[in-house]
Amino acid sequence: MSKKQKSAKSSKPSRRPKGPARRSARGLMSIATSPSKHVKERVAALEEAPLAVSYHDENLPEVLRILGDENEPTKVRLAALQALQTASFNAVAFAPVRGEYMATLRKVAKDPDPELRENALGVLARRKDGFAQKKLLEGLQDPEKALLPPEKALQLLSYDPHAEAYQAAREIVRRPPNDDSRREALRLLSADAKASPMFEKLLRDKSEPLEIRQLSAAALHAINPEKLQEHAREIVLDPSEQDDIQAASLAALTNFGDGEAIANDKALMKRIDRLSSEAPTTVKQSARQFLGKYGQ
Amino acid sequence: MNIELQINNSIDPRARYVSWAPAPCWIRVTNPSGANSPTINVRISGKSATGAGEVVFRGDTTGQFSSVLTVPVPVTGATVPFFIAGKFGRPSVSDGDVTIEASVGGALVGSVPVMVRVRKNANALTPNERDRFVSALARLNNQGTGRFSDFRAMHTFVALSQAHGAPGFLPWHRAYLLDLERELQALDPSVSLPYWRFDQAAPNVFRPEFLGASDNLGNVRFTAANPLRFWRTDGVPGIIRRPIPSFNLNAAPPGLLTEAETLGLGNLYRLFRIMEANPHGRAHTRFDNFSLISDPGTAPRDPLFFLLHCNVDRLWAKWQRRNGRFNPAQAASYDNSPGSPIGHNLSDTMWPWNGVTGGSRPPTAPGGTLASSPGISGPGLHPRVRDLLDYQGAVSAASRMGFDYDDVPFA
Repeated sequence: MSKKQKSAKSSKPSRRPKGPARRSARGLMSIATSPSKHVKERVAALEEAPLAVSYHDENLPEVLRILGDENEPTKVRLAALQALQTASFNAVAFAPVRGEYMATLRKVAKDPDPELRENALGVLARRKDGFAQKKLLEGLQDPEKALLPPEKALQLLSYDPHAEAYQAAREIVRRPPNDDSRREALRLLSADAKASPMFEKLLRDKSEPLEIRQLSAAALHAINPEKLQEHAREIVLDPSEQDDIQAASLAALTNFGDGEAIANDKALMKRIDRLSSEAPTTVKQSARQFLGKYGQ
Repeated sequence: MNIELQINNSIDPRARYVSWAPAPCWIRVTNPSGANSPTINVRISGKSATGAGEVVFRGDTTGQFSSVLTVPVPVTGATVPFFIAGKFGRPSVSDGDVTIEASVGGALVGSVPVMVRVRKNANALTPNERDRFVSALARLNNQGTGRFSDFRAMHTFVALSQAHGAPGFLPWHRAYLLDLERELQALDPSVSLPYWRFDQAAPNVFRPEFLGASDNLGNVRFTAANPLRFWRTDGVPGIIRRPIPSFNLNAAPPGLLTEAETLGLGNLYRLFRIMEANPHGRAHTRFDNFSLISDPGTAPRDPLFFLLHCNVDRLWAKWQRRNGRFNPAQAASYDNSPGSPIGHNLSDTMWPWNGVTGGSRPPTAPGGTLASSPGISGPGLHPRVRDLLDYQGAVSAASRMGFDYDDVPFA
């Protein structure tokens, strides 16, 4: 039995009261912070505790302590993190502890528990925290230092794409440890304007998995929208194309296309008119949405 | 003979949208040929297909609504006022699915299409309603640099003190949602913001056809035809969101106050506003901590944010109606106690629509003034906190904002 499991009392949790007549904040915090209480009871108390509902919340430091304390059960620490995130929506009350919150998260980012690491690094990376970005990059370059699997690290790095991350992502596209990592590396690179030729190639490569081709279409829409419109038109005109790629191309033309140019494109209009009655359901629906917009 | 009907006192077709709150209208004779008296009696009624919206009428600012109204109209061309409202429980499903007809002696002399446009439960939208909404939202964002980017920039860490943690939380977000909704309506006037009723199961919301389904890693997946697959914010593609393990999408998320519990927090605004923590904050954090939606600085990058807040606003609207809290002059309608930060006192203007930057306000004010809506005057281009309470125009008709909720009748 681990130290964390030992610290939890094995008695059954008491029933939570129902309805608006809830327990007092003081009572809930007393349960949440008591190592002698059952884990479920402490988690429930943290979930129920009305943190940061006023301009000042004296309970926040104690919840922060729980999050940072390696001797506390993981479930209680995760509940503390969840409660702190909820409290962070109250910008005024949370401001005094924001710095300490970030410092605690940096500590938790290196915790032995993978779930805690993922959650802490998730909050930090989303806030573009330099420490988290450095750790995630180090893990991509040296798997022995990795705090998270490469696909998760790449996903979190995509919150703040920059040159160093692009370099690591390109390397993973060249030598991907798995399919998910390749996809996430490409997703990260879709913020890089220089990647347009690569995404054009991937979009038109029928041997690529569908999700990579679709991701490439989304990437092109952002970094080179004119090119996406050109390719979308060609894909719609190509009877050998996959249905889902045709549907995505139709969505791109319908929602983001140059209305005047499209309305004057007789070949395209004729093809889509045909798709609206003869194509498989997915394409047919997209074709009808297109015609609904462009008035055919 | 010809009759002209003006909805929301406007000849602009973009003003032909009504909700539960009475919309002021005018009727006048534009061609009196055939009239044999100085005044003619015009019968005004609504014509709807099965399942379409329905409207009701009344001749004055007070009194009962009815399905038919007869109005004496002078043949001189002078305008005569009357009022239209959507029949509660019978909203439209498509643009112009109700026709207002004017007839004289059984002959049709004028007509105009209208829509009973209200905010609906996202889980119950028709496929067409859903598709129109996601298309408008995707177009507003476009390559991540469209008008939507202003809305993203309004709700960042540096601006949180304007919107959160103090009494102005609810009014600020009401203005924010309305601003966005009006921008969506400029692209497609049939669109209204749907709400995510987070105290109930809403599996349809989290489907690939709508706001997407999360994969194991937390990437949100869409159908090929869903334009949200091109979503991009802050230069980053896609949406990252994953429900916490205890949140089964076929049930309500765990740990949130129910609607009844929320409405029961108290009949004073200062008691009710703690709903900012639960259910509001709790609804945001029913997703894993790496999700966009679960952090106040990034939450608007996920379209779910607007559906979540639409429900928060709906709860406020319900609470207002239950307790009669529309009038800012009544202390119980708001918490105007001294010491609130700037932007949270009743007479404060609200950032960013006031354009004020620096000092106690954020360094920039993205987006300009609050979007206008044809034929609607509330809450104004530079709203103050007090301007956001009377959304239906129950206290002052000029305050009406042009939105309503499918399950909150006119006050």
